[in-house]
Amino acid sequence: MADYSIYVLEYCYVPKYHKSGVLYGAHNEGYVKLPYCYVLIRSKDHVALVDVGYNDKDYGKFLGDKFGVENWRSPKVVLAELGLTPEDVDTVFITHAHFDHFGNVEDFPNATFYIQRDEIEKWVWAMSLPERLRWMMIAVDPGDILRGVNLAAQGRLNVVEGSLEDVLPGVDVHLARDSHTFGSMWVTVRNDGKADSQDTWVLAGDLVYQFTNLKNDGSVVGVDTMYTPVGLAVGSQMNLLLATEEMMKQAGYDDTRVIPIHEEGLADRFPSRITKENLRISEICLADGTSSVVA
Amino acid sequence: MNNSAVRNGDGKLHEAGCGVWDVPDASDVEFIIDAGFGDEAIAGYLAHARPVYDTLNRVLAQLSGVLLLAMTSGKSDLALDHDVYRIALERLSEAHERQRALKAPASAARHHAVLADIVVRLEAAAKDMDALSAILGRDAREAHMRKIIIKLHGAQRLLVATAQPDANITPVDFSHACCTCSVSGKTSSEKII
Repeated sequence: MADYSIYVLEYCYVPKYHKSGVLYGAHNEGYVKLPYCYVLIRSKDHVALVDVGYNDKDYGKFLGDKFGVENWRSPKVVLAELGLTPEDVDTVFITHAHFDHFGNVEDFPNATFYIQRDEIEKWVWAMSLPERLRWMMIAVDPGDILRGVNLAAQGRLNVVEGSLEDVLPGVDVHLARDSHTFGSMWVTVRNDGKADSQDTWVLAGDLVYQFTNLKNDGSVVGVDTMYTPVGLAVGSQMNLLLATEEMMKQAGYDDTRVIPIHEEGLADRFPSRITKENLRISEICLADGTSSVVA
Repeated sequence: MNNSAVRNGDGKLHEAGCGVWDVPDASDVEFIIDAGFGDEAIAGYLAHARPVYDTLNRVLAQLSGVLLLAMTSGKSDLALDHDVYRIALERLSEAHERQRALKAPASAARHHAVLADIVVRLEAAAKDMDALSAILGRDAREAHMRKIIIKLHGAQRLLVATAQPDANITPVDFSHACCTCSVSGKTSSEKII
């Protein structure tokens, strides 16, 4: 029995991204494509997203010109491929406050949002520090924090402290403190609804960028494979690895059930298609009685 | 790294407002000229405007963050985190002084005036925030909150409007974001503001 269908929806991409940004220590190993995506979790009762991307009108041209971000499409266009509109989304899990995950809340007028308190509190602390400690403030748009105020004023923002079970039936959130960011969060879907689920999917946010973070060549330390953290940690690589272990444990140590959203290779592992906008939809799983949207 | 530079005797990180963090500012006129702002007067203005802009941007983030935390704390009095709020006020006052002291060439007069407007809006929002916990009644408090949010939004819109990304004057620091593969930041055409 599966309650939810899960899809990874690409909304833009960087064609050439330093591999060392994806995989800690992978210096001078060239470039990889870095898709930007959000995850759709859909049941007969709910339409939820993990992250909301960014709004191109705010900084799109700058990103395109300076950093090579290409082919941005709005949630309206991206969700239309599944017969949905942004207004259909009732729940949004914000894995962390970087602009490319938290930068488009206004496009979802009917959604209730979830974010970790640590993420907000420590960003506010970091914003108080001097310029030379600015590295801790990277990729956060103060405008997004302000838009969070709007959500709170409308009663649509839930600030979570640590793990929270059954935010939606069978959908849990977990805190990875001081890892990729101060209060990164991952989302676990127990698709059979059971506490000791045998059908668990872990939506990793940016705690894992690509498959290699879960299974990298470990010959340098005499093992077949090992976890290797992503290239960016405001907290520590250790905390990233410990979060990876937690996620893998939840997934029964089946690395195919921990879903990294910046992974182009999802298309090789899951049924996928390229839309007319040249963006990828990967179908991670289907709820009972649901037809494929990529076939 | 000498831990005593960032931690107090109890091993805790110093407060953000502590004097241990203070150092002089550096300017970067040459970088801005290289980025395409050929007019030295404009480049000089932008180099000195950048720290003012950055401070205002961060004050906006601090005030928004303090407000957000107060609103989601579950406490009915919307009490602010006074340490962070106080730091934001100090930085705002400092930015105000520096904005007043900025010498803007005629071609940057509008930019300079907008920075002044941002200061005014943030000061007004901060003042309203200070009064928030004293306002009785849910409806009155919500109305007051809306006024604050409008002022913060006004400041944020002006911050976006006065951004000069090629001079590193931008609301978001993208330098280590997920997207930083740096295609090219340079352009040959001369920029104006």
